[in-house]
Amino acid sequence: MSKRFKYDHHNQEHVANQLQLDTPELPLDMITEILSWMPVNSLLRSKCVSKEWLSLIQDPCFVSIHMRRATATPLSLHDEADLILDDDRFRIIDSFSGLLLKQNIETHKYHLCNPATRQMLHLPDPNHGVLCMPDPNLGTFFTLSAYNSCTHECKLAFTYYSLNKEGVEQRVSEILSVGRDDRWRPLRHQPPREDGKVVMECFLRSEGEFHSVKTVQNGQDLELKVLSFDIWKETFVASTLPRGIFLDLSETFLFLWDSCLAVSEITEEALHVMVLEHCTGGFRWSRSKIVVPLRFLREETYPKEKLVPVRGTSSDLWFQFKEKIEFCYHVETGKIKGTKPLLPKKKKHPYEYRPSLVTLEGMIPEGNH
Amino acid sequence: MSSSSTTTTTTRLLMLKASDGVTFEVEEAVATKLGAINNMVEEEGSEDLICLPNVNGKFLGMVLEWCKKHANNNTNSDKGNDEVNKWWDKEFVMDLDQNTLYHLLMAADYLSGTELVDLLTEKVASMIRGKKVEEIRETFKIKSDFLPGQEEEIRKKNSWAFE
Repeated sequence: MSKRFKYDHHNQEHVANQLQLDTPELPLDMITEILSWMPVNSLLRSKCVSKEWLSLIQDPCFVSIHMRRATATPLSLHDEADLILDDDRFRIIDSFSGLLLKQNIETHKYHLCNPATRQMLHLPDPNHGVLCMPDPNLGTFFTLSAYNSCTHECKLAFTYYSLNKEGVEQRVSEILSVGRDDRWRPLRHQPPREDGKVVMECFLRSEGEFHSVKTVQNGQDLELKVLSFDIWKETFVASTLPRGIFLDLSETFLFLWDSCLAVSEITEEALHVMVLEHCTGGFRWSRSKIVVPLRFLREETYPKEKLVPVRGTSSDLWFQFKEKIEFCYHVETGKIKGTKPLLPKKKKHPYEYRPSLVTLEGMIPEGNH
Repeated sequence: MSSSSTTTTTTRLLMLKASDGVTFEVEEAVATKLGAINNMVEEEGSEDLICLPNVNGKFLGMVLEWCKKHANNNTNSDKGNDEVNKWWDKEFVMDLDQNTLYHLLMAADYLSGTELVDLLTEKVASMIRGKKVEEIRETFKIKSDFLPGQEEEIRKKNSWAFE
């Protein structure tokens, strides 16, 4: 079966039309394909074409296909050419599904807005704490936003430290189901306590998940501990990488592989990977190491010492080399597909922005607030 | 337009017959870039002549030209295939008129040439994205079926997009 988005199948009829050399009338599934390449403002205009086009453009499946095809742009913080950030009354906290989570610097109020459709939504204030962009070198505090295009659900969650009655610092998380909750809810399920001295920590986020990863000194040994939060289930799951898998934990790399957390090392012309897979109870480590041969290591173009795996899909792996270029490695053929230079780190916002048609219930036109 | 016979002797050749009787001799590796042909080859195996009663020779020729170019690009060089293919794709669709574009699109869809469908639909999108509603209706031969006032209401909601 092809994975293409098929709306309706009138192929037979239209194939018959094609036999004459008049311009054929395109079936709706082809119209859908065409529209999925269009920018948001053209689509808002195209809603006026006909009832069929209106319902097509508003269809949740179409919205998510269109979003996948839209070109992602990195949010650059002080780029004057960037219209999205033109307005310096706002601080951008997160970017997801074409939506930006922002805070007004003067009023301290939070908003969700869709810059492409020029719509926005006011959010209630959290009970305590402040939403911040997560610090890449700190895995403990998280901010996570997610939108489910099938159910239209949108959730926001974050953590902060507060003092309890005894004056002891404790970590608290709050969550908001946008449009369903009037106020932020404290997360009932709190992460388990952690022992050991943290040597290194960082985090990785994928759609609706936040993985806090810590390398912990336990006696003589290092251990890799992961605390995963699932925003849809509102639960934390702790897991420790089985011992002895990798020679040296401080030499491993983390990346997202098909939206799963992957721990990896490069040895002997291959990438060795352990994946934190999804399972019914939450997450579990893959049974054994996955070994991906890296054929290009035989040549000397990209020596492994300066090579970092950054993300992967079932067919491709992306690597960064010397923090200067990024290239894509096709696992099946063992060929390098495309290389591109990387933006200097200072200029890059950690998140990308991908224009979308996503509309949340209760959104109002921007400028009406 | 028949495929040039290349060096390797192991390459299997397929005969593709279009609706108007025009036939094309194509290497299997080229023709199987089309999902529909790939399926036929896998299912029927030994059959060397494939009849395609729904595609006219002119457009089948163009589709095969695209397949050939992509198949060659992918075997000839190790690096920069994407760039070469992209450049070549751009040339391929540059001067196509609407009629040819639509016929090609129908042919590519019928033959399940996913990448080619993407290329062609993106091209059509680039041609209409700046157009006014009336012009889009004309391009796709669509008549408005909104009740009086309905269209005005949709326009009002996003009036900035119509400026």
